[in-house]
Amino acid sequence: MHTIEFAQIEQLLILLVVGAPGLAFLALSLAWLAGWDPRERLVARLTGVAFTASGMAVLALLWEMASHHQWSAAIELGSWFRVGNYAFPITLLADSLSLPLLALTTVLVGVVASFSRRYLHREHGYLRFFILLNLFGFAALLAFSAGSVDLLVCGWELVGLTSVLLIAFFQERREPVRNAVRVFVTYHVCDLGLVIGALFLHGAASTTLSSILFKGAWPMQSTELSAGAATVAGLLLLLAASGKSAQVPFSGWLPRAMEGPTPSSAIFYGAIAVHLGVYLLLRAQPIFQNSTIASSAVVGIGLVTAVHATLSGRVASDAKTSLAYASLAQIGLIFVETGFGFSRLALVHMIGHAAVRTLQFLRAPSMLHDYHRVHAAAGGQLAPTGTHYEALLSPVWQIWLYRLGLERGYLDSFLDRFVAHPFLRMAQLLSGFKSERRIHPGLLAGPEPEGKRLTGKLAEGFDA
Amino acid sequence: MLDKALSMLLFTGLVCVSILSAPKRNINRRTAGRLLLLAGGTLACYGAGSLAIMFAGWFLSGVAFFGDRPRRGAAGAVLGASTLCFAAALVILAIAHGPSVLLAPLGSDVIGSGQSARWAFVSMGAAVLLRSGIFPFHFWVVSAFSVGDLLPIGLLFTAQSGVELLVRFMMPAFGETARLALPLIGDLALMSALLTAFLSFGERQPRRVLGLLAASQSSFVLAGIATATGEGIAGALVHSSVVLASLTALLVIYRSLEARCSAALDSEAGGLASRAPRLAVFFIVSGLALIGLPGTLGFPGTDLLFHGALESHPYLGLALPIATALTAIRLFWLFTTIFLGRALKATPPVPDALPRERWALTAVVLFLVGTGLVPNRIVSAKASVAHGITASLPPASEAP
Repeated sequence: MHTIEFAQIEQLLILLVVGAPGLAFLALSLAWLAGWDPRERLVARLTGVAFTASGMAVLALLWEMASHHQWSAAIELGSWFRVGNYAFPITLLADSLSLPLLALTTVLVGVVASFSRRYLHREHGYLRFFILLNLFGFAALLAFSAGSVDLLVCGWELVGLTSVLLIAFFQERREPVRNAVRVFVTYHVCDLGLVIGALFLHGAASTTLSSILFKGAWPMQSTELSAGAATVAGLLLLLAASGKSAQVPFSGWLPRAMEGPTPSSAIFYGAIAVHLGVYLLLRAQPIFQNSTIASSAVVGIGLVTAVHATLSGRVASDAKTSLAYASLAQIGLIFVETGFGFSRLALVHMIGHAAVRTLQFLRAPSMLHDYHRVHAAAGGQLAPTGTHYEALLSPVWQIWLYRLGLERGYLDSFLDRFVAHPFLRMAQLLSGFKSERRIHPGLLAGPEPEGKRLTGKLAEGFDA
Repeated sequence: MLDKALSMLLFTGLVCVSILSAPKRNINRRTAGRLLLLAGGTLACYGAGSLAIMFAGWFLSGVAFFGDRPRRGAAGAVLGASTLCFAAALVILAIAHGPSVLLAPLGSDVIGSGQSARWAFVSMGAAVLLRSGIFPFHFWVVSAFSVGDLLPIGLLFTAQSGVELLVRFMMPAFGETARLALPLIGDLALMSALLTAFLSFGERQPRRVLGLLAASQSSFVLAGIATATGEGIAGALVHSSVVLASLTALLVIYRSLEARCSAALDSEAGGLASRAPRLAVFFIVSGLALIGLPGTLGFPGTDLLFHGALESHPYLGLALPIATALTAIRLFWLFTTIFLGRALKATPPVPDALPRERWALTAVVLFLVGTGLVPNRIVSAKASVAHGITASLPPASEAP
């Protein structure tokens, strides 16, 4: 990979790609903070302009790089902060992995923003949605163009935050809020893998800059990390990727995330956010190539997830949950491709999957209407589907697999019973918790059911 | 000098924020008196040129809490004990080196590593650990937060006077003794950071949760100082500013909500985001800054802290990222419990942030986010202090 001298315009282009949605986010946030309630049309237009500018900048960057016959570049923008010998570099990458994803993000987020303009018309949280959408766009573009694992962490964390806040979009309902808490917990537990992985790479390789850590241009890269160090780093990054991409055993959060508005489900869990884990694996591909254990773990997790998601998706009773599991199955397969080293295939698969899934999610509210139209066109006689593979199994197996699918692999109950509950129980015991204050039986649950809200203590605290 | 001025300015600003934003019924003579003593004492600590003035500031800032009612727990007793320990150290130093050591410029006299120096260090160290609420002395923080005047006790705790003493006197003056003791202090602080964050999961009362999280974050600062590395100390100093600003904002918002929800005596007050969206946003932004969200000042602080901690404690240093994750989960849970969900009919129609609250909290949030986007000035100021501190310590290989 070469760090080349870009003309000033080309450096500005990459900044425009990442920065345009960020500026839109800042503008809308400051406007709201100042007490202004902008009209829906203005909000949508500002968002549209931001992503159009970002998309045009990606195209212009592609054109510039093609005209210079350069297919990878690291643009250094200085240090964010520095203490002694330690500095946090801001380096953005434009190569054959990041450029397609930057283009994909700007297009899909732009499409979703356009869809949302009408879909969320007169919705109470219209401005809130677009603020979070712009922040998400900025974060995703930052993550995809990050030239170091440290900078990728920044985009990664912001993507997670916007995801959670949009799950709780319908905040007056209990279930979306509880699910948002669950997703937040899953994200933060798994993100420890990324944070500790980045710190480990600092220790093992003295850097997390892709241009130094990996030699060559993606996907033909190599690293000088030893097999042992690569294994540790790989497993840590795999933990983070599994959480973000809802792989087993962290799959439980994805169907719960469907509580958010359909446009956010499309862009987060069909298109971009859920593929961020795959992107991390692809970016760190040389590390996995140096470690058989880590790459085998990627393949294993992907396979198990694909099977689990297929089973659970076949018994799902609503369209969005069904689509969520379909996404999960495909991402599991992409993990398998990545684990085997088929990086280009995984990238193409990811892009195609993101586009198709976005369409399906956006069409989900019309799915029933579509079905009735097809049903009528077929003369009211549509052949039943979904029985071929079941017919190959014995009735005992059919029932067992059906139950397994219905219980979503028992993953949530396993995590609740063997991880969350003991954790809470121990915290309760060590804090000398009084027995009459019953702790809610799930760390992964949100606020207590109505009638047992602890916020009654707000009044108690005031009275004291 | 710049760092001192920044710290004093920040603390003064946050005292003003607390006064501006506090419910009017809270600003009575007693509270005003406490805040004045607290502000005067803390500023004296920050700006102290000698041990005597630092002790006077230490005493003043805590004296208003000595006579607290027993139901407030051991806050008064622990603060009193920490002051006594500090006083004992001064007596030992005065006897060993003459009374002039108390009036000498801070850090100018190297106390050395003799018997008396070690006793003085131990006594001062105890004062620091007590005041900073390091496990197992975190209980006073939790009980002080759980009842009574939340804002003054919050400011007292987050002012980090113990850290000031450690950084400005103990480390430069005690040299070798400090170098020997820092790993132990670091271990205690790291364990405390993790344990108190963990214990917050056993609590349901928001005040107690906030108290435990405050204790945890305070431990972060001490752990960073104890790394004796440039990154760790600079990160700790940056993080102490974040802890001060974020926690003040969180406590101000929580206290404001307590005052607003007084009518909902026997029912629950949730779903407040629909009625007070600005307070909700201020709460979540302040909380996220505390856990190091990129784009806030918390990010450079925690990033530097993690690097410093892992450099000096390769395994125990992992306690910091884990404690950060636990704190994040607990804060988000608190946010959803208070602000999200359906507002019950019994919940009074609470107003959103009043103009005085809005201005004050906007200033805090703009500070946290503005310095987070462009952190270089603050980080550089803290880094130069960190450099001075590390330069004053003997190299690790020379320490006996």
